[in-house]
Amino acid sequence: MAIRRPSAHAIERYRSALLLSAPALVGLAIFWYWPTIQAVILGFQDYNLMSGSHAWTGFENYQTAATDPLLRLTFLNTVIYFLMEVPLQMALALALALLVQRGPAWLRTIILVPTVTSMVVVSVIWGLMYHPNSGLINSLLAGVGVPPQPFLTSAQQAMPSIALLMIWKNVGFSMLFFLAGLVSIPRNYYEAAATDGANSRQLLRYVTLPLLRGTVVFLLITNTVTAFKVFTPIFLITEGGPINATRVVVLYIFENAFRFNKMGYAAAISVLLALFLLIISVYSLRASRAR
Amino acid sequence: MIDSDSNLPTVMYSRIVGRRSDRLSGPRRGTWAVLRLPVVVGVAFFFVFPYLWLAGSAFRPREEIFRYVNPVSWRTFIPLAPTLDNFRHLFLERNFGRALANSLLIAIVTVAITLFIGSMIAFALARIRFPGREIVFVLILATILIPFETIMVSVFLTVQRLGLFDTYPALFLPWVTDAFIIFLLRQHFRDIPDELQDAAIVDGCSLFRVYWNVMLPNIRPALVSAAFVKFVFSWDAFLWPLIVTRDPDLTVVQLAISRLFTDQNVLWELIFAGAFIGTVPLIVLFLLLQRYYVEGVVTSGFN
Repeated sequence: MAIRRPSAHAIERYRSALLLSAPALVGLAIFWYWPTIQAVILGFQDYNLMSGSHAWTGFENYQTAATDPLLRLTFLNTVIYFLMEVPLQMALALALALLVQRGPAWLRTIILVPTVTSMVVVSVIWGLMYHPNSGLINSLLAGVGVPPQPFLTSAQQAMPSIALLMIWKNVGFSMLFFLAGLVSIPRNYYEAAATDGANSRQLLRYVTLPLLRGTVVFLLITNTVTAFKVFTPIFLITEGGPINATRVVVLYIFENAFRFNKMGYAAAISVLLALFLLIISVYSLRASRAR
Repeated sequence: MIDSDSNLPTVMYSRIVGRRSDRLSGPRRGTWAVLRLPVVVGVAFFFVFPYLWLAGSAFRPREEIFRYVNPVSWRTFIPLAPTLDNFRHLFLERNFGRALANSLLIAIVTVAITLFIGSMIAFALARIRFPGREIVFVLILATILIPFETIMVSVFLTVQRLGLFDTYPALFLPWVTDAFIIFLLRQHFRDIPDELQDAAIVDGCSLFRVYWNVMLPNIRPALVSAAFVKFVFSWDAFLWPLIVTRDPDLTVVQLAISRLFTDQNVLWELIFAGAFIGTVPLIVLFLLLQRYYVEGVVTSGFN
C-alpha cells in the first residue's frame, strides 16, 4: 500500500503554519525552554559570574539547601505570607464581587485601579503610609483613638503589613474573575431555588458558591503562584527585615544570584520553588476534578 | 466557566457589568438597606485614599509634606499652595524624562512585537490544520507553569551570553513571546466563522493574506485588549530591569521611582511626584480602555 502523499495544497498549508509559528517558537526556545533546562543544569554546578568558571558539584547545592537554616526560614516566611494574603484576598474579592454586582459602576472601576498601578508605586506609597511617625495610616488610626503602630519596623507586624498592601493591589483581579463566574450562573437556578423558599444566604451557600468552584480553583492556583513569587514590596520596603521576618524565597534567590554571586545555589533554590509550585498546581487541579 | 461566544470585548464587558437590574439578587431589606451606603463609601475610601494622598502631596512644597498628615483633614489631601517644584526637580536634576521615555519606548516596542508574532502563531494554531499543532499549543501553555522568577537567573545568563547585557533589547526581547497573549488571540481567531476564511481562500488569497487582511481586522478589539494588558505589564517591569541594566541612560521609570525611595536621603515630595507621573498616564488609559482591560484579563486568564 502506498502512503498517500500530502497534496501540494497541504504542503503549502504546513509551510505557512511553520512560518507563522516560527518567530514565537524561536523566542520561547531562547527565553523560556533553554533557560529552564539551563536552570536545572546550573543547579548541579558552582558558577562564578565574575570569573565565568563553572564546576560540576553534583548534588552539593541541594545538600546545602537541605541544611540551610536561612532557606528554611525564607520558605516558612513565604508560606506565612501566602496564608495571610491568599485566603483573605479571595474572600474579600468574592464579597466585593457580590457588592459591585449590585452597586454603582464606579465602585468596580475604583477597585480595579490598583491592578493597573505598578507594584513599585504601590510599594513606595504604602511604605510611606506605614511610616510610624509621619505615615497616613497611624494618623487615620489616631483619629479613631488607636495608638500608633510600628508596622514595618516590627517583626510581628511587618509581614501582615506587606500582606495588606498586596491584598489592596490584587483583590481587583480576583474580583473580576468572580464577577465573570457570577454572570455565568444561569438565572433560573436562582429562580428555582427562590421558588423553593431559599433565602438569600441559602442562595449564596447552595447555589452561588458551588457553581463558582471552577473560579475558586483557578484563582486559588494563580493567587498561590503569585504569592510565592512575592518580591518587589519586600525588596523595596523591608529588604527582608526586621531580623529576617520578611525574607522570602524570591528575595533569597535574588540575593544569592546577584549579591553573593552564588548562581548555582540560586538556580537550585529556583528549581525547588518551581517544582513546589508545579506540584501544588497539579494537585489542586486533580483534587478539584476528582470531586 | 466562560464560553467563548463573545468576540467583542463589549459583549464580555456587558456580561460582567451589565444587566444589573434584571439579575435576581434576593431582596435583602432591613440591615443591608441600612448598611449598604456606609459599606460602599468605606470600600471606596479604602481603595482611593492612597491616591488622594499621593496626588495631594506631589504638588506640595517640601516644608508642607508632613504638616497636615496628623490630624487627618481635607488639608491632608489638598495642597493649600500647589507647586510644580517637585516635578521640575525630577526632570531637571534626576533625569526623570529619560526614564519615562525609556519605559514608553520599551513598552511600545514590546507591545508591537508581542502582538505581531503572537497573532501569527495564534492564527496558525486556531485556523490552520497542521501536524503537531496540539504539541505546539501544549509547549506554549507549558511556559505558563514556569514562573519567570524561577528562571530569572538563567535568563540573565542567556542574555549575558548573547551580549545583550545592559542594552535596550535585553529589556524587551525576553518578553515578546507571551503565552497569555497567544492564548487570548487564539480564542478570538477560533470564534471567527469558517466561511470568511474559505471565501478568501477560494478568491485565491494565500494563508498569510488571510491572516493579515481578513483575520486581523476581525479581532481588532482583542488586539486592543492584548495591547493594553501587555502595555501595563511592560510599564510595571522592575525586577528584570533591576538585574539586567547598569547604565543610568537605560533606567526605566520603575527603577527611577524605586531609587528615589531607596536613596540614603529619602525625599518624600520627590517620591510622590515620581509616583504621580508614573501612575497617572496608566490610570487615564485604564479609564478610557476599561472594557478592553476587563476582557483581556478575564479571557487570557480563563479557560
